[in-house]
Order: sequence, then C-alpha cells, then structure tokens
Amino acid sequence: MEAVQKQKEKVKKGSSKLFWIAAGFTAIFAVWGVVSPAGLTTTLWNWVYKFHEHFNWFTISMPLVLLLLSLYLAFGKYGSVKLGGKDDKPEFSTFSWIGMLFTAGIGVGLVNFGVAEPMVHYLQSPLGVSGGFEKADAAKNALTLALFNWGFPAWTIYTIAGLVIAYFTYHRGAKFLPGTPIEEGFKDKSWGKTAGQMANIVAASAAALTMAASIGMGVFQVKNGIQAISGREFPGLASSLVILFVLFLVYTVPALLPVKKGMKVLGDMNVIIAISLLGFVFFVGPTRYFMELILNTLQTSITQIVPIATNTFVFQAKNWFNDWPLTTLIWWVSWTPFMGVFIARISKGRTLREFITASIIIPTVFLVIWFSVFGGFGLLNAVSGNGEIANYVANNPNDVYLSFIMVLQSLPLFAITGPIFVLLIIVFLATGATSAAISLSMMTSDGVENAPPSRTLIWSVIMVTISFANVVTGTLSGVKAVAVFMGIPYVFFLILSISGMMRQLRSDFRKELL
Amino acid sequence: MTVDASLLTTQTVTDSVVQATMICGMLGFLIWNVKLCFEDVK
Repeated sequence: MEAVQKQKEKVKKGSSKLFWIAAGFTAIFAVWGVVSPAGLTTTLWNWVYKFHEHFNWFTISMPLVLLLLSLYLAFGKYGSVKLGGKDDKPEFSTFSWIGMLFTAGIGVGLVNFGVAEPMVHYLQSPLGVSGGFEKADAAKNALTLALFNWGFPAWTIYTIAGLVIAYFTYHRGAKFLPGTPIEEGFKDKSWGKTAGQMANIVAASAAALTMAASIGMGVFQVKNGIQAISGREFPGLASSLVILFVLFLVYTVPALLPVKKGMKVLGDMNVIIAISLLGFVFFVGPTRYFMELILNTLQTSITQIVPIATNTFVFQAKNWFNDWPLTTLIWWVSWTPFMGVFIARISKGRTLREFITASIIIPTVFLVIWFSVFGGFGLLNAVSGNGEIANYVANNPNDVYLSFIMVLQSLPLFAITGPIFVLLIIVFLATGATSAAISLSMMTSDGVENAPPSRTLIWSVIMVTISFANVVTGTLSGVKAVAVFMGIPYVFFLILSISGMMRQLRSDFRKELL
Repeated sequence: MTVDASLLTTQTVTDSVVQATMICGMLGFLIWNVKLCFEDVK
C-alpha cells in the first residue's frame, strides 16, 4: 500500500515538473512577444525561412511520404489491428467522431482561409495570374493548391500523429502523451526517455501558443463579422476584450465537462452549423457551377498530390512558396501534438484501416466541397465577375480573412447568414480551444485519460492570457511566428515517433500480440 | 517571377559548410530513422 502511494506521489511530482517546465517555456515566448514583438517576430521568421531555404524539398514531400505510409498501414497486413482490446467498441458514434476530428483539426481556419487561400494562390502563386497563367487556368490551379494544403496532406499528418499515440496507449498501456511513442518505442535506447520528455515539453508549449494565436485571430474575425452585420465600427480595445472574455467562457466550460458532454456537443454543433451555411451558399449561389467545380477539384486534389509534393519551384522566386505551402505544412505539424493526443483519446475501438481511411478521406472530401463552394465563388467573381474580392485580397494582404464575409454579402439574406457566420467562428474556436485545453491538461497530468479539471482550467487561463497580451499590444504576428516556429523541432519528434511505432508494431505483430 | 539570383553568387566557405552540414544532417536523420523502423525491439 505504501509502495503504491509512493509511486503515485512520484508520478504526481513528475507531472507537476513537466507542467511547470512547459508553462515556463510557454511564458518565455509569451513575455518576449509582448516586450519586443518586432524582435520576436523577426528572429523567429528568420529561423523559419532558414528552415524553408534548406529543407523545402523535405517539407513539401513529407505529406506524400506519410500518405504512402498510411496507405500501407491501412491496406497492408496491419489494417485489421484494432486500437484497443478485441472486444473494445468505439466510444463515440461515427458522426460525432468525425465531427470532433474534423473541427478540432481545421477549426476556425476553415472560415479564415476558405475564400482567402484560393484567392491568394490565384493572385500570387507561380501557377496563378502573376505566373502568366490565363484567368481560368489560374483559378483551377488555385483550388488545387489550396486543397493540397488543406486536404490529404494535412489530414495525413494529423492521422499519423494520432495513430502513433493511440497505438502505444491502447496496446502497451502507455500514457496519453505526445512523447509516449518515443519513450515507449525506444525503451531499450539510452536516449529514449530524454527525447520523449523533450517532445512533451515542446508539444505542450506548441499546443498552447498555437491555440493562443488562433484565439487572437478569432477575436479579430468575430469583431469584423459583427461590424459587417451591424454596419457600425467598434474601434476601441474594449470590444475586443469583451469578445475575448466571451470566447474564454465558451471554450472553458465545455473543457471542464466530461468529453462526452462538452466536446461532443460542440463538435456536433459545429458540423451542423457549417453544413447549413455551406448548403445555403451552394443552393442560393450558382449551383451548377459548384457541382462542376467540386468534381473537378476532387479529381485534381487526388491526381495532383504527386506533382505538387515534388515541385519546389526551383527556378522561381520563393516568397509565395515559403509563405503559403511550406509555412502551412509546418503550421500543421505544430498542431499535431494536441491533435495527436486528442485523436488518440477519441479513437479507441477503431481498426487501423477504419481509423486511417475515415480520418483522411472524410475531412478531405468535405474540404473539397467547402473550398469549391466558398473559394469557388470568389474565383468565379475574379474570372467572370467584377473581381472585387480578388482586388480586396490583393490590396489588403493582412486582412485577407474578410473575403469570406464578402462572399456572404454578395448573396441574399446576409442579415441571417452574417450572424450564423459569427456563431460559426465562435463555435469553431471553442471546439479547437476546448480540445487544446483537454489535451494540455492530459499532457501535463502524466497522460491520464481524464485529467483534473483544475489543470484544464489553468491551461485555459494561460491561453487566454497570451491572447489577451497579444490583443492588447496588437502583436498577433509574434505569437503566430512562435506557433509556426514550434512546428520545426516537432517535425523531428514526429519522425522519431513514427519509427518508434513501426518497430514496436512489427515486433508485436510478429509475436502475435495484436 | 524571377530566378533566385542568390543561388548564382559565390558562396563563402562558411556558407558551404553550413549548407553541407544541414543537408547531410537531415539526410542522415532520415536514413537513421528508416533503419530504426526495421530494427528489432530488445
């Protein structure tokens, strides 16, 4: 009895230590961002660009390699391996599971970039109008590029990140921690434990800072949405702080509830609101054009994976390549720590085949439809219309997110779709921030399945404090730089996690333990 | 769009060493990981 108590105290001490190191590490970047936003932004973007300069060949092809690995795992001899015991049933319905997977991973970015990203590719990419392409070809290429960034590649990265943690948690009884696959997979190596713990610290900081950046961007989006609906300007800081406080409440309350009550309800709500808005624009807008575009984009999002993943635009200027495809892919990696833990947490009872195919294909098909409808509307305006959305994006490079509202304003019933848009951003943000708070508390509570609510609350407060500091000082670019920067070390941890899982999986399979 | 002209300028010894170290380091890391995948767990 005494030994058990001692063990518990040891675990508690260890998790507290991890919590304080991770919180301290996060605080360093947060304080640096507030004290010297310009210094932080310049220094970190320089590092990010150095990484792009040397390793663009690696970053752009990484999703393709991971996709091939996923296909091998899903359709090879390991496909029927179940995450959990043979009799374990999935904890959530497929609808709720997909809803949570999807909304936690893509989150508010879907609204921020649904129109903006295809428009930027249309205007700036070497395959767009600035690269000498005709408008129609540039529009087609723009959607293909947007889907490369948001479709299969993003979901392959998340899926693998979730799988490596889920495998060790459900088959080896390990903890829900991002460093688990390294620590457990390389138990026989002297460096395994240290590398795993380092991964945990970087992971917790990356998750907190990435989410804080999203919350900060969300405040900006909600404010713009309200201004567009009401036709009034709210220039002061007070309105931003009120929005931030409301967001804090909306994501903290579900985070403190059990996953089945809080997170599941948010995930379901998100899917319903997003599909309603999508359906409205699809039927009220040019429906025949959308159908043609969806089919076309579905085809290019599959057939163009290899050409894009192997194109480093070697004879062209790299500004667009660095700022969009490469930065987006690294940004996805910085989301993987908390996405991995979260996906692992909700995926018990699924086979590898089911897990991989569902979590890659379903979100990608939804995104093909989403981008074809919203981005497609903006592109139609650029190719055949008055081009006001493209002009806006070209002239306001820092406010490209507003292009989404412009699409809704171009259609009837903005008095109804406007508030729905604001609600969608709030629920999207809440889903992302709630899953981040849950994952962070799990990561810093020694990976227990249901972490203490007090720790979840502390992480919620840390995230809102960073966002608060950034909203007050207007230094969002600093925290965005940190969020992307943290993805760089995590690239290496992710690769090590995959090797750790592969060697364990091979060994377990050979010993017939699965 | 223009070709990245900096690629054509003469590199210093330091630049070459940094570049070679980075590229070889990354390739080494990737190859080592492939080897780890096929290694038996002790």
